[in-house]
Amino acid sequence: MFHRIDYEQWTSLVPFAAFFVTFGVFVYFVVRAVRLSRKEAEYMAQLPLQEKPEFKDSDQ
Amino acid sequence: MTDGEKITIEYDDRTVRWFTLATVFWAVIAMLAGVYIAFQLNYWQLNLKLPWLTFGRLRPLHTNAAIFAFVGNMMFAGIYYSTQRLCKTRTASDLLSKIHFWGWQGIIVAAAITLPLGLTRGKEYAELIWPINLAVVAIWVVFAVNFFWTLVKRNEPSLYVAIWFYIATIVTVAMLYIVNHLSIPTSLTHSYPVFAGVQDALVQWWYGHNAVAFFLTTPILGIMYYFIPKAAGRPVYSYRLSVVHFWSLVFIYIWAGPHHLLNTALPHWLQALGMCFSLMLWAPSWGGMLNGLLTLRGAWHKLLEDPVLKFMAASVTFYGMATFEGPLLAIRGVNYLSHYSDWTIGHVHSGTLGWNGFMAAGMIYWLVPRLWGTKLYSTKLADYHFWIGFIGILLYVAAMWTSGIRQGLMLNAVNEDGLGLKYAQFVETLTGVWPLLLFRSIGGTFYLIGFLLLVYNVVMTIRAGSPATSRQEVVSWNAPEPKARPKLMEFIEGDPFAATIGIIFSASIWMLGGHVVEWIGLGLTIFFSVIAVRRFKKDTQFWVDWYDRLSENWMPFTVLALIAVAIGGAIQIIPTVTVNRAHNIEDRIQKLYSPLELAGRDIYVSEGCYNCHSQMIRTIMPDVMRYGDYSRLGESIFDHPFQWGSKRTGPDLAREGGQRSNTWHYNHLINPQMQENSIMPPYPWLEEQKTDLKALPKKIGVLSKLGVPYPAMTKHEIQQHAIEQGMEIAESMKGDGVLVDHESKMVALIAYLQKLGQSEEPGDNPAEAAAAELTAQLEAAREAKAQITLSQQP
Repeated sequence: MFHRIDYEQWTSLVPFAAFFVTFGVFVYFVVRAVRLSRKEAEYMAQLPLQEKPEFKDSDQ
Repeated sequence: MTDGEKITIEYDDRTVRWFTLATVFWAVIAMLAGVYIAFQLNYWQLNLKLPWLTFGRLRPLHTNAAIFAFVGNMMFAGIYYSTQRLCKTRTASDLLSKIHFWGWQGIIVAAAITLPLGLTRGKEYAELIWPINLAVVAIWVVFAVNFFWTLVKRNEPSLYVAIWFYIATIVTVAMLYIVNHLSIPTSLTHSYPVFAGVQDALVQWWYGHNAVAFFLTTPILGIMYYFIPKAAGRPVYSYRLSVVHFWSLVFIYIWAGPHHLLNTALPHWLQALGMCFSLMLWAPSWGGMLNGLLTLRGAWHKLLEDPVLKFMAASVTFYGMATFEGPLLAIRGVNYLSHYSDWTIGHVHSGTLGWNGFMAAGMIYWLVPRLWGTKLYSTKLADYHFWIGFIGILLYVAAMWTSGIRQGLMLNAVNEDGLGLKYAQFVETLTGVWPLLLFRSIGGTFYLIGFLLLVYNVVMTIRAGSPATSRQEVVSWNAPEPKARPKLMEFIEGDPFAATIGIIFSASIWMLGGHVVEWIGLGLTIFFSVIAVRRFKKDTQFWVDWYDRLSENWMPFTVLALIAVAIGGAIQIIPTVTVNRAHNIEDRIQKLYSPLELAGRDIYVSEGCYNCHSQMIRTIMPDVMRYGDYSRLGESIFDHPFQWGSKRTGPDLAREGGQRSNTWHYNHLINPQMQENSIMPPYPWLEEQKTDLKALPKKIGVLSKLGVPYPAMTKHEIQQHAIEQGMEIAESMKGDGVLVDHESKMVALIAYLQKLGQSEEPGDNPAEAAAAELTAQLEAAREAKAQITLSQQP
């Protein structure tokens, strides 16, 4: 469909390059997440539950 | 304020209240519009012969209202509420919050006015005209400044994973929105997108898919990670899993856009890329879903009595269903059947009604009593809402799945000899799914009724309470001085970053290089890998610190997230924009639209015809048997915007030109029901309204700037050509007793429809050939007009 130009050579490799780069980064973060210390993971997980409002009153 | 000092924070809950109320209001509008247009597909009479109530104009109103008004406001309410609490600080600026809120509502109102008026860019979920686009960008910047400023002011060193999802949302939506809305205006209300044909298709679905990912998913995941633990009273099941969920989702999602264009003229490598990454999405999506559901471990009994948890658990389950179905539909073989059918509509609605709608309901039921300092008016009503809404969704999606599969099978069915289509008339397939469309409408109505119960419940709760302010005592924390904090350069010079870049760079040389170069690349890859491993062993703590600091420092984190998503877009879009251009076309190249045909095309876009008609004959046999030779990439290469469509409620129009007479088109547009069982609305106003011929010179000038090879024409020539062609078409219908103004929109639209599918051999210079063809066509029109004038002389 298109003139056979050099671009086509490397665009056919793009899916593979994309896959390996992405997969590499994914593996890195998996390893990093697994190595996250238990203490830190627990602290982070508790963050939404730390709010203990002192009191509430009318805004008006 | 010094570190460790106890301070009392007064949260800005007024903004959260406003966004919550806006969510409720716009949800009703979006759902009402949805139910109305759903019934229009069963009863075409509901189009009421009014231009602003046709399916083509109201469908964009429905989608935009659901995405940007309903989920948008819900997202902002959730983000403003949770970010303050997670950062233990008040939102940075009340003024910016006010500008954000009122600016966003103004945008929605502007959209609600312009879309029914037919003012549209003609790209799905990106229909808003350019002045509104600019307003969206400005308001998004205000939101971003307010958000990041709040992060700077925070009293909590760590950034919880919900904040990560919000950051990814802010940067990615900005990038997607700007790129897909790049346009050149031709007037205050009209513009042409800078991309055309296949480029426009790719950019559009890169945006369209990721609008779902980063507007309807990532912020809601952030909300999930905050509100489910709050509602369940227990921490997220696995924080580690949430980290993996975030990074894998952000990296993978952005690549999957081309799955919306499978089996089309999109280059095959992009289709392969879209399919592969879509399949990979199964893992992170289900990881996130399981993390959300397992947070309820030990609290399942609460689901019986707590409507908040009930809605949230169902929402996450629908997230799992929708994200299972999405990759499934992205498999080329499945897409063969499902694409352009109601199956996709069912998929989308299991996401929006189930995932977004139920999460919104759960969040609202949790927030409203707290924001107004009272109890929920009625838990029982909320329960009714849940079950009525749940049944509504099931009816809706089951009907759409069945309809999609049935219509897909009917469209693809061939006779026993395999040489002809079993259902040759498109309308036969539509009749076959009519009852299912009705079930869908009823399901949607159920969902709306359920939501109206929420409205009543919210109103009664608010009446029982009064706006409350929440205060909290926190320990102050100031960000360390810049010297002590990691800088961008520190990351770049750091071993982890340098080694990673080295590996990626050398692996690229290895894979892409020539004979000798690839061996050098392989050697360098091994070298950098060894360096990385050795450094890791020697100084493990440095790597750990690198990541830990990243999770506390929003700036490099934001840059990394942006790079992650930008790479995916760039690798797809740059080759397409540089390679798939008119001058590279070998096979067929589109003939240029004459001025009148261009005006007709703008009317086609304005009426939203693309909502029901595709212009893309796929590379599959049933499509070719039904509509003709498959669409080539060059056949829409000058289309600003592309009109490939995403749904066939009516037949494909890619090769409509020349198949029927002008009179047939006229009669069909006035009375589509001349075809038995057609559900298309009539367009009588096209006959009464005049085409804006004066706008044509500017439009052609803009298209020329964008690379459409129009021959040089003066303003007068352009308008004169349009008038001459119009007269020719009007004259051709006189013999059939049809008298129509040659400057009417009807004539312009017919001119466009008759041009669809016309292409030619490109020769050595495709652009020149296209321009020469148009010049010849204009000359022919002039001669025809001269003959008409002669024949009319006494």
